[in-house]
Amino acid sequence: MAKPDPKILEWVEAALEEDQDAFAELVYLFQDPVFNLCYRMLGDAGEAEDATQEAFLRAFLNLRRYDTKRSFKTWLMSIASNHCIDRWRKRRMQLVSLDDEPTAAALALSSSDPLPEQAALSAEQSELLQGLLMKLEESYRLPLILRYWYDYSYAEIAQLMDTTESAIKSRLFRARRTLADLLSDRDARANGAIDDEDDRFKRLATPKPKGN
Amino acid sequence: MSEEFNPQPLDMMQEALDGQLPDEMTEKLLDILGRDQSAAKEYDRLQRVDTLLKRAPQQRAPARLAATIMARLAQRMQAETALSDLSPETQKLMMWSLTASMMATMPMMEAASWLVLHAQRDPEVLSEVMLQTIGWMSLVTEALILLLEGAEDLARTQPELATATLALAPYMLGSILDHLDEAYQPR
Repeated sequence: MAKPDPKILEWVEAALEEDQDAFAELVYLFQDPVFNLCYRMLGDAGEAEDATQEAFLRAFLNLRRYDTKRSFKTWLMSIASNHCIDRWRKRRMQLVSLDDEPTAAALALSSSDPLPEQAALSAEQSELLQGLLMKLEESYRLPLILRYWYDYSYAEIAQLMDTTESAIKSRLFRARRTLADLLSDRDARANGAIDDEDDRFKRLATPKPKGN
Repeated sequence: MSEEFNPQPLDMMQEALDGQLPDEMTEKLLDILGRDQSAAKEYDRLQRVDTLLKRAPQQRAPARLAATIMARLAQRMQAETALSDLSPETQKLMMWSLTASMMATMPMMEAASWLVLHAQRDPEVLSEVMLQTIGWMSLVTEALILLLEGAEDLARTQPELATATLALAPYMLGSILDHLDEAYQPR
């Protein structure tokens, strides 16, 4: 488990004395990871912005509850993720319909794209991946986000989500398989719709197991 | 969709993707993948997901976000300081007056809901009702905000006048209704 940075603890202590500049330092330091978490959980930049603001306000108002032996970032992320889960549950009924699913062609790379390990997804591909993430239940989406975007260990995710490591392992397992199924479904539907060149994406994003 | 295959290596596949599989187990997994085509296919599917997720970028916060958060925080702290300056009796009285003011708007809210519900069959009527409702609800909200701001200012120096100001809310709403009544009389 990551130990709290002394500088961060200093800012936290000053913020507890209502030093807004010290809290601003914490906001500047963690706004990107909190915003990314909210965006990945909610799938909408505007809503992620609102959620990020709310998460920081809640953190400030509950700063006395922060256990300084733990990582401040993990504590902040747990506030943000709980808020996002609440928000998501409230608007679950207004989710995008299946018609808004990304198409296989849109997930494909053009021939001039760099190799997968060399570049991040394009904005469009990232948005489409986000569409797939939004199809996961929030209890599966959150561990996946924490694992891939924050490199959290099973233990850290379990602590953040107040559950066991084996539960997290199992959720990651199901989340990956569900995404794999969604991709396979998409491929099946797009068969014949995408040409060989576009199909290059599939080859690039599917490294062969070493044993084969 | 995934086909049936030996579920035993699945745990190993997941751990391998997370970089948590010990070397000797990795060799065992590779051996399984070499022999079991369905397991190899499943590992391909999972690796594809893994690759996509690893390539997904971090979304950066908008430039104005930190400033907005700090502005909201300052506003909140200012409001809390203003309230904590008041005596507990005055705070309680303010809360009661505020609740009474909010309750005074209930008949208007009810009327708005009734109008909207009954106008739903005709799109033109619904559109007109929505426009009118939004118009007078904005009027009421603006008036209440003015009243509350005035009461807040008075609360620090003359708390009894502040509560009296809030008690004007029903009268103010009545005046707005009279004004609307006159404005919409058939010509």
